[in-house]
Amino acid sequence: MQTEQPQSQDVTIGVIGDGFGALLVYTTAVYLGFKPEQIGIFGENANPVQTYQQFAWNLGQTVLRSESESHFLPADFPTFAQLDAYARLDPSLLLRSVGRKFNPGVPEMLTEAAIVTRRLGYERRLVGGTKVGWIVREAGPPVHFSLYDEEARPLGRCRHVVIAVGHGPLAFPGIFGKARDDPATGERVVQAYEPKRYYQGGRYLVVGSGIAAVNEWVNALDSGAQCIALRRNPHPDEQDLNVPRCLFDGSGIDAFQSLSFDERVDFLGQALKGTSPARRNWSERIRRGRQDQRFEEVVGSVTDIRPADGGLRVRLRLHDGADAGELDVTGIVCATGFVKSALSLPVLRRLAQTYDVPLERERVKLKTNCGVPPLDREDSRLCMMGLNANSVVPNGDTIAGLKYIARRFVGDVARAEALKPRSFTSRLGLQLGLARATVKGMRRVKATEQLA
Amino acid sequence: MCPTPIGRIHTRVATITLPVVLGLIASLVTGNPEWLVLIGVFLLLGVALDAGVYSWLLKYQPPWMTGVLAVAELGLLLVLAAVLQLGIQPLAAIVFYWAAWTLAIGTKIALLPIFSLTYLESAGEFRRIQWSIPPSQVAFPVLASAEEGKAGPGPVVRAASGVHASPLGRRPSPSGVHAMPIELAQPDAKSGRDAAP
Repeated sequence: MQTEQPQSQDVTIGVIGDGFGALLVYTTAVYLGFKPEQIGIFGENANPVQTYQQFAWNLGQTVLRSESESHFLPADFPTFAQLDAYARLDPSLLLRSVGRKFNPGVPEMLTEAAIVTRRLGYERRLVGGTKVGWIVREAGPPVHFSLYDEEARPLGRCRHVVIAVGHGPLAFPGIFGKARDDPATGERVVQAYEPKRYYQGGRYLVVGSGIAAVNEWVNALDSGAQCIALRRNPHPDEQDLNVPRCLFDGSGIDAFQSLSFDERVDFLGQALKGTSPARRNWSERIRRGRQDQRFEEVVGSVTDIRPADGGLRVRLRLHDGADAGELDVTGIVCATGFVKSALSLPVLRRLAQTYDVPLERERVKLKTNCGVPPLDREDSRLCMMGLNANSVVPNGDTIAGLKYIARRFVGDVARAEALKPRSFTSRLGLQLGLARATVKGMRRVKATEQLA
Repeated sequence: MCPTPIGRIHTRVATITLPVVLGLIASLVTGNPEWLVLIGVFLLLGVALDAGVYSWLLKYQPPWMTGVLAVAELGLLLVLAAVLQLGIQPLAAIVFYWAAWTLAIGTKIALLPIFSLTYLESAGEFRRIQWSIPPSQVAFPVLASAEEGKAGPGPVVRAASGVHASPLGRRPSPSGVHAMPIELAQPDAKSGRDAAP
């Protein structure tokens, strides 16, 4: 996508990345009183939902797990359920929200994002139209950062920077990675977030136990195929959020942050280990699949993958160590998420190498304000958001977590820059204007079926 | 939402503004100040419940629970109004209560998130838009403690002082400025003599 800002730019707030995080930092900054020209989005794409939209399409995802207040509107009123209920004139959506059973539809959510993007002029603030490759600390005065692309061409300078580059590459753990790299088997090992197709009469092994895995079980069954659901964790929690509920609140995040870095990472390892939501329609489809002998769950691991006439031949070892023998499958779908190592992201790897950014267990050891040591300063912040920041904010890779970080980062910048805040009435007018436009937009979108 | 005790009290006090206005209008129209008193009693009752009951009873408060608590608080308010002999008819008090509650809950849902951007994610508290634990407030793993000092000399100090003092061999000064590398000065240090100047 073309940028309107091809030249190097000087801005107060630079956002490295062009996804949800970038949009949330931008909307928050405008809402609190920054002018659009004070903000630069250093990324490739002027459409902040493009990456997510592609993943959602590949996954066959139609709804989000849970409501995150107003999603892409800057403040938390009206909530997404309130907007949806008003747009559809359907009070049942409010009742669902009260009972925490409301699932925001992906098309509705993307509609809201598109409206916010357009109305607040986000697209016009894209700078460079390419990925940032290097972040350089400049002593000034005033102290600032210079940003360069992958070819070390200058892109712009910013007083404050937030790194919102999103997830690392898709993960193919252990033996699945080897099979993926092997030309004889590679094309039959895919990730849940990749484009794929299930065939009637096929047999698919779906690895993982989170919401992406459950999505794939249902997709395989819907296509008339057999599905073997393989998970390593015998007892995944049944929950509609990525992390326990109170961790979304200040009280939970306070408690989380009072743990040591190692304790936090260990906690995340436990809390994020495969949580799957109970969905009425999904449960019904899986129950039918089980009845038709097209669905079965296995707790264990794969020890060998070889090419076979039917596609692949895999050897399974059960959770108790028993050998379950070999079975032929048409393909393997890894619903195993993304690589969590910060080193898998080139801009972070270079930053760590250049400035001795502390790493532990392949994660940047962030400060409690998501600041990147030793470069972050009060008068020139370098902050991180998303999955790379979930050692500070446990739900950092959810919309709620991104908002949490965006708000505090922009709050810090506003204090550092002595920003004159937008008045209450102006904020109210901006928020309600966006809400009204969102409702109009939602009316043009077909209502998404609720699953919970 | 998982409101903290402070968050509950912040919210309770902030949402009482419009009910107070309603009580004021009712008192002026009827010439009976008891409506305003009823709102005051409602506020005190609410703060007492927030501080003493809800905070430990409801760590996570689902949205539907707000309605259940409102019904419970109505019952308690009617009892208190009778005990205090406010002289308001129960039916009128019930209607007034629900009108006031609707204003309060409307304030909470619609106005407070606009007034304070982080209101919902700060567990109902009105905080500055700030991190939970700013880096400057991160606790050190080991802290100096006055308690140990108050207890008097311990075995380390006792052994090092007085007539039974443990002998202490001479070592290079800790300043780190030595004419000779410390390794070379070690034999002298062991013999108790000063290192070469």
